[in-house]
Amino acid sequence: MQEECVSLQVCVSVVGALECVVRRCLGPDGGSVLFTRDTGETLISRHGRRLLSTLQLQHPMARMVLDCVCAHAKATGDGTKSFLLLLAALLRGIQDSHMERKGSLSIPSFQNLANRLLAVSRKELEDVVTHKLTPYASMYCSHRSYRLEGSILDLLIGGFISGRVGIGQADVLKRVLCEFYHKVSQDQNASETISFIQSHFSFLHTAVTGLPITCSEVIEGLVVTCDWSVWTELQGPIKALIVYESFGASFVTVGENISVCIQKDYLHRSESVMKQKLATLLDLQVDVVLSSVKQPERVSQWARLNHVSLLECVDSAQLDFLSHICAAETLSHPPLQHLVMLKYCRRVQLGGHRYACLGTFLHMHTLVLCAPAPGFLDQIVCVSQGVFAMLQHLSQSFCQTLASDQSQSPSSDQSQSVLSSQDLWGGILRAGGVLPVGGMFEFLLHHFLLNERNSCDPESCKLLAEALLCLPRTLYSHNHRRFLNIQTRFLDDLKQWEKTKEKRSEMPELKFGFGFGESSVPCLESVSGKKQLVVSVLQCLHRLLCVGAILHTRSPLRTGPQTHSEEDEDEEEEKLKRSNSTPSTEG
Amino acid sequence: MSRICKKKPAVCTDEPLSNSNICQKMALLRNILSSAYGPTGRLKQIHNNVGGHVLTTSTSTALLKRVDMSGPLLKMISTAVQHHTTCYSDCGLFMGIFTLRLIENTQNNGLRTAAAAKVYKHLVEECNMYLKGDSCGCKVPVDFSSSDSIIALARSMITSKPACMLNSRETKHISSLIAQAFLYSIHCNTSSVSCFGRTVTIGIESQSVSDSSVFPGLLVDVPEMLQPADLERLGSGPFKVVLFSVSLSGDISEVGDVTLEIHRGVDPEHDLLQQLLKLGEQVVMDKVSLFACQKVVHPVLQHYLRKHGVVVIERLGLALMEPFVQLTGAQAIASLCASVPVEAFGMVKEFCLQSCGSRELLQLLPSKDAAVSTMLLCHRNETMLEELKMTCKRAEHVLRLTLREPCALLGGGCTETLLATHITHMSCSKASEIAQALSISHSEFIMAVKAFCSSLQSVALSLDHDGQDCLIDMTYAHRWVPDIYSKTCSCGLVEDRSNLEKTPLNTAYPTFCPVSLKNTDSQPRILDSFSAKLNALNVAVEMANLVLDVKYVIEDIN
Repeated sequence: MQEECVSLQVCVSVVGALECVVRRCLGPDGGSVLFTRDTGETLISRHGRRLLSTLQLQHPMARMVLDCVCAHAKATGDGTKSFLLLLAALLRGIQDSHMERKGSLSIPSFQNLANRLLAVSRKELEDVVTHKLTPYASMYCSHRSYRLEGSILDLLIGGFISGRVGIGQADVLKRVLCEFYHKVSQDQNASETISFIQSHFSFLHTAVTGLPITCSEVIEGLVVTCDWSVWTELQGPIKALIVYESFGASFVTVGENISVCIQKDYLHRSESVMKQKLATLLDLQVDVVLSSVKQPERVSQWARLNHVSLLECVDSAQLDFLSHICAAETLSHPPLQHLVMLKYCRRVQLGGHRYACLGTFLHMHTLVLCAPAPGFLDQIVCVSQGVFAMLQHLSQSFCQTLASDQSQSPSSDQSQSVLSSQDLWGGILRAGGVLPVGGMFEFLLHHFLLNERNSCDPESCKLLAEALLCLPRTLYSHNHRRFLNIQTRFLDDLKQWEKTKEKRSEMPELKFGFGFGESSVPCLESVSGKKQLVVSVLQCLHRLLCVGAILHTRSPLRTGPQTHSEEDEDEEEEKLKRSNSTPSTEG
Repeated sequence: MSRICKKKPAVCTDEPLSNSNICQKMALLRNILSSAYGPTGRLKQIHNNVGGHVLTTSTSTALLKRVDMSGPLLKMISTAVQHHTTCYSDCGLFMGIFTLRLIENTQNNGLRTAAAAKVYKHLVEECNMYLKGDSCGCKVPVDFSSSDSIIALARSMITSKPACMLNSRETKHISSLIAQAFLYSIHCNTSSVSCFGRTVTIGIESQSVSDSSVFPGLLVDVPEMLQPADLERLGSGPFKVVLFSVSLSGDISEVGDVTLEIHRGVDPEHDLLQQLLKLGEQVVMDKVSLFACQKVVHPVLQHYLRKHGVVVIERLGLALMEPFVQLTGAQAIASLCASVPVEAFGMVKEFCLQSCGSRELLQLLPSKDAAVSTMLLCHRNETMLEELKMTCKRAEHVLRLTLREPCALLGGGCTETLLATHITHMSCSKASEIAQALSISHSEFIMAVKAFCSSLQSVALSLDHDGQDCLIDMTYAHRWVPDIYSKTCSCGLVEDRSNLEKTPLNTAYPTFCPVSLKNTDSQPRILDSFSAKLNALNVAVEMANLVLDVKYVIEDIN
């Protein structure tokens, strides 16, 4: 067992190494990172969470940070790269302030600082966001709402994907994703639609390689990535049978040590069994058979003769999904068979492959995502899924605040839970739930934190405020003068705003361009996600600073009493020993 | 027990495109691809260091499939080209060269990648608009009422594959065969246009290319015991056909690898054979003349059927099942026990015996309109035959794609020069507006346009491998090669005249708007597939942008 002392220096270098990977990918002007394995797998991505989860990290501190990042990303679906940048900036800020003071870098003082920062996140941050930032955002957006109202979803999606896919692809992807959302939602409950897409995304999209991304589209119906084994043109409502088992006797699945007994007339017997099965099928009067396994030739012959379409080797999870959304009728006698009604069946040609397309009575649409090469396609699929995770977080947090508001005023009626698409996004906009991307949140928070008058801990606030500026600085790293320009202009605007606010007069036109061209509307991001980011970073920092030493042990970690064995030398397990003062923050 | 090694740290490369080693590898790949481009492209011989099969080719598909790429970026480009060719069967080399050139030019000019990517995206949209628009000067409509443009398209496909080793007479022969096979594969009655017919390709070695031909219907190897006299005895058609997809060998193979427990007094093989003979009796009673089976037929059954004047074709194979079904209209029977339903029988109009070299083939002619034909390709040796077979398959695919969009692009590099000139002209006239809209600086925009257009032109330059000068004329912007015999440009649309000013390609010359050629009698000699080239252009730009976007490479070498 060896002990490794943890100093601030170690933390800074570990987090710095992680930051180094992601800092190139931040924002629309960032690049992507390419991973390769010796097995030939390649991954190309700008997606922070994917990048970090692909890294095989050795250092236990790094793994701990990664756990925090993943937990945050799981909750909000956004902000992994900013997480690391902010964390690294905070650590560097702490290091610098200690260097200046030339004080001894003792562990208790760090713990103290960490606790204070956590306290700031609980009190001052909360205050600033609710009482200053949200009203500002609400004002800002209402002032521009004549431009934003209809397109807020587009802008939110645009803000999310512009930092995750290459230039030029973002526009196409944004258009397709918005179209997909609108087609699926059809004026239904917006937050339910988002959750539906998010949880069933794997069935609702089809990936096609070899085509440019501009060929991506939304098509009606559910695309199944296999071709019909037997195809007949069918009209009108179609009765489809879903089966999960082969009609023939399959011995392969039963086991290895079986014997088959051959009796007299066995040929005729097996034939009559098959005939009987097919006759019951015919009695059901189905037009389509969807099977998750390969059926014997005899079944295809039967299908051809009776003008029944047959689709084999369909992913069984997709069949489950289909029977779920179509309210399938489960047959009692042969187990595992469902009957569903379909609107139509088609064949579609997507990038050199012929697939089946099933139309349901519920308006179902499939997102077809195209890309020239597989690694590239993964990135696009992953980003598209991420969009809906982010939207889900946004809509859920909005609904929560709405519910808590209404619980305070008991007079409100119960029908508020059903929100249309327009209501939801408009409500978020009016409540100040969104801000333009490009560092506005950071600038605002920086400004408000520094000018917080009744703060009990101005030192920690200053530390956090300074660290926040690292995000816009990295965003405009290719052009430092631009960063300074934007910052000065923003501060001027803000002063003017505060002046007019005191006078209670009309809000001036804010010229906060962010380089999207003066005419175009900037993309948006969620305030609650950003606030959650700062809180998560401070929690992670707290965990980091509370580590006193790392113990490397050679035995696996067990909760019970440990027995040290000599054979387990291959397994190298590290144990984190946290200084015993803060057991509550673990986990 | 396996040895546990300590894990090696991953190799990280920052800014991979400024790494000279990676750039060198890219340049090598570009050299390999561009030296194989076009009708005079140099052939590549691929063999591994332990011996084995040697492949001679110049096509991107065969080349990239067999060459392992060492760098991850190269691997990505290579897979992208392969995915493109599986969808469109053409323009793989074009895409590869253009992608690599674009990356190289961006690096050489020291352009900021984010800015370059924006401009490229804009320019490729401009290209799409121009190529799809009506005023496009490098697009010609394909007229399906005459075979000229179909043959011209097919011939351009074949001439750009020099590994087929065809002389001009053979090229003409093969391109007309491809056009013929293509026309056979289209159903006559337009009511059911849902899918194409099938062309089956049979290759025969060590025969002259001029022996190649296309037959309507299906050609199969003549069954062993079939004599010409047997066919004569059948008289005239049409003949009734039955097709089995189940094995008629009399083995109990269906149950798989299990222990069999057989009751006393039961002889399963005997029972099976009895069943087979009963089936044979039934077939003879149904007056079937052709008995076909995907798999093996038991010799006793074969003998029985032959005795009753039924032609037996066994071991048809899975690949021929679908064309056979299309040809005869029969439905494959998958059971030995049930009697054959009436609607499962098919029809064949006639049997003919064809011979080519040492091979005797039985031709089955369809009784009604069935778009099935067989292409018999002959060549001197195996390697050339393989290349020829692949080329013909691809050419047919390209022709089918043309049916969807009935137009073609000028070949011979003229499309590239024209497009480059048009893009330069369009962009330079509106440079400052576009630069502002893309929020980049004016000089960045101009440089990116230059990089894009010179990449396009360098694809046109790669067509030449003999150190000749490539010229561009300053009126129509077509590509010219100084040649005393030829009086036209590379694609054959523009005729030379004394006052036509020309300048070497990829040198500095003033921008101009290319004049589109009106009222000309001349037809372009060389045509390229429209949809394949358009997709290649789009995918190439997207791939280049993707590669330029990569800022950090992490290689796990454990």
